[in-house]
Amino acid sequence: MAAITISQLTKVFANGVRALRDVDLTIADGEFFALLGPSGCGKTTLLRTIAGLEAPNAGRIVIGERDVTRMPPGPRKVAMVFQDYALYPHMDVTDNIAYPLKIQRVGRAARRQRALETGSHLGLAGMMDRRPAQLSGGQQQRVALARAVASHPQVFLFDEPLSNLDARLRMEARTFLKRLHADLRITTVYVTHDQSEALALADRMAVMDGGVIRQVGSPVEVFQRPANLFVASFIGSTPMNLLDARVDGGLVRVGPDAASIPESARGLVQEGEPVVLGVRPEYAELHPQRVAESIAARVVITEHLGTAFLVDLETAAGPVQVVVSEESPPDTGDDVFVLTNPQRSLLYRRDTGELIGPASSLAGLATAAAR
Amino acid sequence: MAEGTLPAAPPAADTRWLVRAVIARVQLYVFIALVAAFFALPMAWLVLSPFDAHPTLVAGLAHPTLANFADMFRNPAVRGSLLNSVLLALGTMVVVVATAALAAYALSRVHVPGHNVILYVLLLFSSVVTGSAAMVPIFLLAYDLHIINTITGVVLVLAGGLLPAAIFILKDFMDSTPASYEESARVFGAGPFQILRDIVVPLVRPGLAVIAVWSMVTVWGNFLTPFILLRDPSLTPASVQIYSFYSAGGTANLRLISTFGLLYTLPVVVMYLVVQNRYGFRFYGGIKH
Repeated sequence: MAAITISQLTKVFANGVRALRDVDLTIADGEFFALLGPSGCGKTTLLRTIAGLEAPNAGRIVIGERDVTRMPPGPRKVAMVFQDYALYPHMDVTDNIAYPLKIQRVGRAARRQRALETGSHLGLAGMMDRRPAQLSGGQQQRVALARAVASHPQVFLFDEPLSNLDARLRMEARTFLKRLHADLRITTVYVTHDQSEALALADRMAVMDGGVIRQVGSPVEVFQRPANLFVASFIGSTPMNLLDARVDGGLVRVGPDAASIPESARGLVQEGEPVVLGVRPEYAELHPQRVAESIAARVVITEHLGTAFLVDLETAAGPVQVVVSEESPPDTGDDVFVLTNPQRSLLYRRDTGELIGPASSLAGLATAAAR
Repeated sequence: MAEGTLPAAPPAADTRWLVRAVIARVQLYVFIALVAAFFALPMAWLVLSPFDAHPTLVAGLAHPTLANFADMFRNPAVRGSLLNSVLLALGTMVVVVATAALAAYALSRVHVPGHNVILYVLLLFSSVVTGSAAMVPIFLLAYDLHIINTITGVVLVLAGGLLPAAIFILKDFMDSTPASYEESARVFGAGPFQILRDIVVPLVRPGLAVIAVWSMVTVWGNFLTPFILLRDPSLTPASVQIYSFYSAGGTANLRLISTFGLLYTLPVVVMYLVVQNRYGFRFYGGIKH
């Protein structure tokens, strides 16, 4: 059990790629922390640097009370689960799970015993003498987990562990991981490019881009108040609508129309300031007539999402998407008006791309939801 | 002739075509038989002559006997030379496999700039090292190192010649094992030698077997190196020993040569069969992508 403190971490690869730039991050003891970002954002490099598989060019990594920056991987007492599981094909399940113990010089009988205990705990009791090739993808994944658990690490490092599973197994494995973490309470760093995994699993998460952390917060914070335009466009199953706008007399002017100023930005903007209005498709409403300050639009296409409809609209300020309930889908070609919810919509400065207003005005709500 | 049916060929043309086809077939079979005989007759001679009391250059069993084998095993030079060959083959195999495994692992994992060039140059030189062109310098080198006339010297020279190709083949095997296997072992605290022993060697075992058998077979059949480097008759291996089965007048002792030839061939055939059985000479790395 240990917290992880990362400060000023920089990694430049031999080919000149700057994978990490001055990364500062603190992960609390027992926390399930997700690193999220598009491919090439540096999240895997950060994980591998924590593991000791990559040496940083500058900065410090502290696990628990120990500075491990220059330490080889072994004594860091971390366990890593790889994307391809890295199960040894020539060893059976028992030997795979027991291999970390063999390295720790645990006696043969004791390590077989512990492998069996850990394996049974993870639902592998009936298949301890099979080879990895004889197991399904989900079973292989559990063997990889069991091997990590058996080594009694201070920290778990997961590198996209669910990406090789099909959709149904992935949901099962996700629940499984969450339960395992609740059982063991071991500090976990989880790398993924799948935001639904990060939002579902993590206590807190960091969104990375270009070797820089763009936002750290609970999934609720990150989802509801993305700190900048990158995070805003990256997070969300349907991307957030981002409309160029201008502050105009207590309103945000979007093309010829206007919307109310988001509550969290009131009093923090100047008249005439160029801004970007951010509205999640789920937090906007469609009305057949103009109501208050709303944006005129025409329906281009509607997509059925199962429990709702995603409506693609064309406005004078560009395309907008809105999610409406399944009862009232508009028809293609209808003229409608988009009403934004000032409690949920967000305002960004157009020059810096930063969120206007406190990054976590919903912090209380967020932590309550995370518990 | 009815409309729509194929016009039948005139009877004369039909017969000619048939005759030509038959003649072509016969010619083919005669040719194949000649080629087969060309390769099979020496084999037949090799297998039959050792059991003949008075072997000639004709393959056959005119006077069947086992006395040739009894005679041969009574000859101390023969027993000694077979033993020497085994020592040379095993010794070289151990040196080649151990050294090539370590070198291939290092070359596969550590990216030295230009390591491919190093490997190709080594490969090029290796054909020189055991070739006749380098024999004088090698003789002088061995002499100055005081390993002339020793089994060790021959083992080192032969291993030197085999190593580049062995490293080249093994590096390919090692390259195809995913790095995540070793990285996961490293995260659990395994050192380089532990990783090599527990993970890499078991995964490239087919490659090691190929290298082992290939180096033993090569050494078993090598004549020039031991012939030049070994002066003491008690150290002579089988490949050189055959050379001495002549009478004082210079005529070949066919009884000894044929019997010894058969014995000398058997280990190679056995090794081939063993590897064929266990690994099927398939080149695979045991990797699931």
